[in-house]
Amino acid sequence: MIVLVIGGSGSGKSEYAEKIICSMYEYSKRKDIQNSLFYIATMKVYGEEGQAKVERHRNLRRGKGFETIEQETNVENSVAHLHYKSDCILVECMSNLVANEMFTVSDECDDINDSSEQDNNFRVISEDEVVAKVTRGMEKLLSSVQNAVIVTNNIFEDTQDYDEVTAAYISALGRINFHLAKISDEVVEVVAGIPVVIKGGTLCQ
Amino acid sequence: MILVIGGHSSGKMDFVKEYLNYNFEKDNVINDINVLAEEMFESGMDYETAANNIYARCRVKIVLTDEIGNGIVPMDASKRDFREWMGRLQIILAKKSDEVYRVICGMGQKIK
Repeated sequence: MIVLVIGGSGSGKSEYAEKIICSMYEYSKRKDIQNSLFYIATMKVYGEEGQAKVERHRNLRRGKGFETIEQETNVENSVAHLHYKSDCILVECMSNLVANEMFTVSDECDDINDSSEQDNNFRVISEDEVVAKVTRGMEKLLSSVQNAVIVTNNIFEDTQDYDEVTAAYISALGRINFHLAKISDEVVEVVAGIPVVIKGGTLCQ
Repeated sequence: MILVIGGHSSGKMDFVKEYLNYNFEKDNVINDINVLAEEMFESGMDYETAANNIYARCRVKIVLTDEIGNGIVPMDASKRDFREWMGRLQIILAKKSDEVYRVICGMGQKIK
């Protein structure tokens, strides 16, 4: 089963997504299915704020049996780390994956404040290319597992007053969400920690 | 407490007037706690304390709140923090509320 979980900043989407994948995993354990539980992390960690975010999510996941795969780009490569066809994966999150695919800094430099360096080496991949690459990668990944919960971000409900590059990013993530929702069995929006079923609804009560 | 959440100008007030037991004379509606919450955030209060504080004041009321986390993450660090902080505050308020309505296009969906 594939479940797409969407929500805004601080909506409680991560916690809900974890709950769902863990219940799928526990269910398969009860059926004596041999499998593993994976967390596929797509966030590039910048600075203290990023580190704090990672810590917060790690604490949420602690003791739940997740194996972590760090996959900032080329999400299909995480297939190599999986163990069984019956594995359960949580992919978090699409907004980071799409940003990492779209915007690359050729010289790996951790100091985000060094803007001069950033500008010189900043590369943007076209919207169409990113959509094609990410959807292909996700399809490959999803076809390799039994259960998947994908976390994505609702970034679509403010002004349209953005520069061309940001607008292309919004559009790319929107198209990818649309595609993922189509191939998902369930789509759930999380609002103030409460799941609201958009598609399906057998599992996510 | 009844919590009504939705984007800016999503029609929360109209929904409350039309569908919930709105009583202007008794002043049982708190329109937009975001301003109050932002003051609490700026004073350095954590979101649990702020949520308890708001709940203590508004427990018998219909409380309206803007959903602000559904856009592009702002460049400004403080704005970014406030969105996360506000979201977590709303999660606590939703947990404490007897009913939660989510409003889109003036239509309220009872989600709790």
